Amino acid sequence: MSKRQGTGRRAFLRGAGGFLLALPGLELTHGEAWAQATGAAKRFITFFRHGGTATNMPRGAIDRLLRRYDGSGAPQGANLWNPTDPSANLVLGPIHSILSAHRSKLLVVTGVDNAAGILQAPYLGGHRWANSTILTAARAVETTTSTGREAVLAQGPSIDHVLETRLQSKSPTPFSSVRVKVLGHDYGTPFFSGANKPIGSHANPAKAFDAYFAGVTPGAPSPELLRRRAANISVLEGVTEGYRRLAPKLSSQDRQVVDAHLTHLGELEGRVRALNAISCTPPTFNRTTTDRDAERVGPIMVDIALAALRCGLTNVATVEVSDIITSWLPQPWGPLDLGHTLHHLARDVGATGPYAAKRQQWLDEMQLNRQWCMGLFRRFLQGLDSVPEGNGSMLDNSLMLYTSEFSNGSVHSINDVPLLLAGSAGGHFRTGRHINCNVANPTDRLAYQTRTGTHNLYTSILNAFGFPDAHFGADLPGLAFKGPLPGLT
Amino acid sequence: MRRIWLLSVIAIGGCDEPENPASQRRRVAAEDDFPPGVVVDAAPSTLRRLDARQYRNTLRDVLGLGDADVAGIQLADDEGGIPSLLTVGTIDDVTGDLVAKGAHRKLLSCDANGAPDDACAASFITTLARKAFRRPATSDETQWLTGVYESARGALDFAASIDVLARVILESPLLVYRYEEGEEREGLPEGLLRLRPHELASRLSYLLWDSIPDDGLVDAAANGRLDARGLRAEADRLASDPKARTKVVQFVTDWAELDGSPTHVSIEEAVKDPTLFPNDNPALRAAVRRETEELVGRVWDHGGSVNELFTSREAFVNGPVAQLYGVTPAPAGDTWTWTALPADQRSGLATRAAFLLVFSNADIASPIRRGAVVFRQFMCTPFPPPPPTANDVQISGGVDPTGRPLSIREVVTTTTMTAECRSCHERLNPAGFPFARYDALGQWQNAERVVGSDGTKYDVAIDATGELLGSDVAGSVDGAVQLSEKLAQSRRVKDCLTMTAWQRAMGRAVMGEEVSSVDYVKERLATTGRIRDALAAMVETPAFRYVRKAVP
Repeated sequence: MSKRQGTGRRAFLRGAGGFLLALPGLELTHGEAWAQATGAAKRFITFFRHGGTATNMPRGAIDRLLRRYDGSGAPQGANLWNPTDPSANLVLGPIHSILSAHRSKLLVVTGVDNAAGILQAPYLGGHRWANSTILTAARAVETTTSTGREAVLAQGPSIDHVLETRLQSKSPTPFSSVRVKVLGHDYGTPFFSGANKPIGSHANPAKAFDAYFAGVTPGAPSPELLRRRAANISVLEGVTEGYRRLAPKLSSQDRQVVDAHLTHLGELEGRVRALNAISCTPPTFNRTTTDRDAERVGPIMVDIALAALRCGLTNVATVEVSDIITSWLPQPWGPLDLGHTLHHLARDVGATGPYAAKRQQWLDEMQLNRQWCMGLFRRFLQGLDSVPEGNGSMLDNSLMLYTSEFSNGSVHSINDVPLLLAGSAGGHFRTGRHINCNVANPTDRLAYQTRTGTHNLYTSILNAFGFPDAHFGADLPGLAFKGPLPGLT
Repeated sequence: MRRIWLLSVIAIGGCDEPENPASQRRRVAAEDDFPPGVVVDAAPSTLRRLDARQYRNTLRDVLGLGDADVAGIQLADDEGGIPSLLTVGTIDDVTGDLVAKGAHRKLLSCDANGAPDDACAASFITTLARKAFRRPATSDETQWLTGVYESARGALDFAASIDVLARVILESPLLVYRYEEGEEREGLPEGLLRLRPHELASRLSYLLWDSIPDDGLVDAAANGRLDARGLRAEADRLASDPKARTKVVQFVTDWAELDGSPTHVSIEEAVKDPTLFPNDNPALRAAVRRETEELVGRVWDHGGSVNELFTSREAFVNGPVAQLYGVTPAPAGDTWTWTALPADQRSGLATRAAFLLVFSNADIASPIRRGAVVFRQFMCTPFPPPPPTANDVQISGGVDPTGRPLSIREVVTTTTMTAECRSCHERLNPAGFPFARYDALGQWQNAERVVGSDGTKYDVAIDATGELLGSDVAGSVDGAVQLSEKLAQSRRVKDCLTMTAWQRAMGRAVMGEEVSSVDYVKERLATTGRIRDALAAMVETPAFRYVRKAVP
């Protein structure tokens, strides 16, 4: 169940302004200690923003020539995401404008479809189908949960999990990944560890902190902490034995459940043991912050995930941000309670829409709403970039991906999905550029055609991390081509 | 004398010779006393994790805690049925917190901080496992837990070792999951197993309480008293307990989706325009929730009549709720009392403020949402989601080009009778229009307030006629009171309620092997109209008491 809570306009803006403040005093004295000295250590961070961004994309099949909305009809026709220059010269679009200080470390990738979604989903879109395919490029199946709710489940892992598993086997950390979420409105997770295995994220700041930092201390662990760890290991060993004893009695279907439980118990135990080698200053924050207080939770969650990377607790982090309430809109639209509904109004602020006169106001509100999340991304980026590592910074040896299940949320378009990269993954990607995969006539700003899908980008990302995969995701009939995305390296 | 001897020989001979299979089946069937005509079949039992509510209740009752002690425990659904790392981590955290607070210590027969006492630890294993596992621990399990204790003692003091033991039991699969093995029995149809007595007791307690069996039920299982007659008696006893009332209230609240869903918000979170509803505040939301819960509870106290659920005019109100319903004189402040609501305005569940404010917009009622929930939840007739291009801008009435004010009904009709929308909305809209006389907060209104593009406000006459098209209770109605009467009469509503209850009890959709059993429950509810009878009927069926052997 998705629960929402209002956020006042004034408070919202105050939160946005907060990004300009200095980063909280994290473990600045320790970040270097745990980061590796060369560009070999690569980290992967995924920002996922539910509900789409603000573009003028229609929906359509891959490899077809489409016409973007120009705003002369009901659809609003503006694109707040894409760079304003179609060439490789990166001129940041309105939503990205707050990242201008970091332009040289960004890559905006446009003209890439969620091909797996387009090839499988009814309507060529839909939230659940889009969510389950955007990061997995996998096959997906519709199902019904035990409480009668519909769900679409990916049949393969998402890119973050693939990297999590592989990086963990190369250079183990206490946590194979750190996963946090800012609650709002959404239709299910985009993160999967395998077929039918969605991955949850911590949505409560205090619980997220306890999960990752409960055993972390600035200095050598106290005898009391060592005793607690010993007790925790005894518990996990004992519980594991209980599950092992039950497993042989079960059907193969039930054994999958117990096997998954056992795997996770093993991960928990591995963490406790690995924490013995970690000392670091955990982040501080107001522990009473409730998980529905999105504007405060957002920065806290970023700080927790960032600190986990800087402390060497993990090499993979995900930050999932639901559609955040926007009831600060004035009438006649308010009080509407969903960022996504706000985006649906795109149809009504076009030239022939009922609220045509409000178009600019709507665009301003949309930009502010989407920039709020981009501000969280910036906070993370700055946090990584402020820690020297080798000849550069932690950011330089990392790769950050920002995406959403839709480009134009108002029509559920999974064409030209929003893809923003930051950090060069140890110099593997040449940053400060716009990679435009739209192969339609470049002089026609509304024409759109691509043969490229997210599976290509994720193949490139695996290659950037040193894995020579030739393809990522399902081998779906209809994919225009497989292999890495040209032009990134 | 000779005759008696002959009878004895025959009797002895009967024991030595294999019983005819048909005769065995008849004997077993007679013992189980299944309802005549119901096919003796059942679905395989799958391992299923306790849901969040069951988990809270289970920890509460295993440790003898109060509701407040477990209220903050959240456990997300595992969408694919496979536990996530977050789930496993949460369980570890929750049990760690409870044990750190000493929640388990009252089950310990010695002082944890006193001298090490292995006998006390052994007794603790027996006591805690019996509750947590919903049955006595087997010797194998006792051996495992004893090993856990001894191993912990090697590194930790006595108190810490008891804590480890408690956490291992509370995190074990036998608490976290519902596992049913079943047992072979001669005379059962091929492939069927009978649930073991303790497994049956758990099915019963989770059905009626969402929690573990109490001592009485565990004893009944241990002493072989859960035959057909004993099971009926226990079901009746559990149904009379306040925990069953709580469960049924929660079930109906879930059925009506008053706690929210992926497509709408809960009673407390529904956004309302404060300028239009100055009487709205968190206390009012809490009060309308209580009013609906008390309605359902009272219905349950009377046996759970579906008719009463949809047509009762009785309401438990305080001052603000009475004012919302237009009851005079209203009780003072937070004084609660039972009252009769205006008969022409209010009927049961679907005309109460909690339901009406959830299925509304911030400022005006939503006939589409209200119509959709009637079909989807009360009749188990879902409609496909609107296509992505559907215009979901809120409809607020308005004014046509000639200056004539338009009702919400008129705008809804115009907007949704396009080729793309019509196939669903020609049924959804007429199911929602009868609610037109309730505003977005659930208050009665004699006219509808609409706003023109220049901000002018108009009062528009209300047409609350409608129909449940394509249902078993079609036919025109005028207003939600008449619509509620239709719902109360509908066989489809009762069938839907049965299906929903069965699905919740089993944690999955109804399986093919269960259809005959489920049909029997449907028939019982249709005949008596009482939820309590339906639950009793569920317990009588073979699909409730047997399981099919799982595919290895």
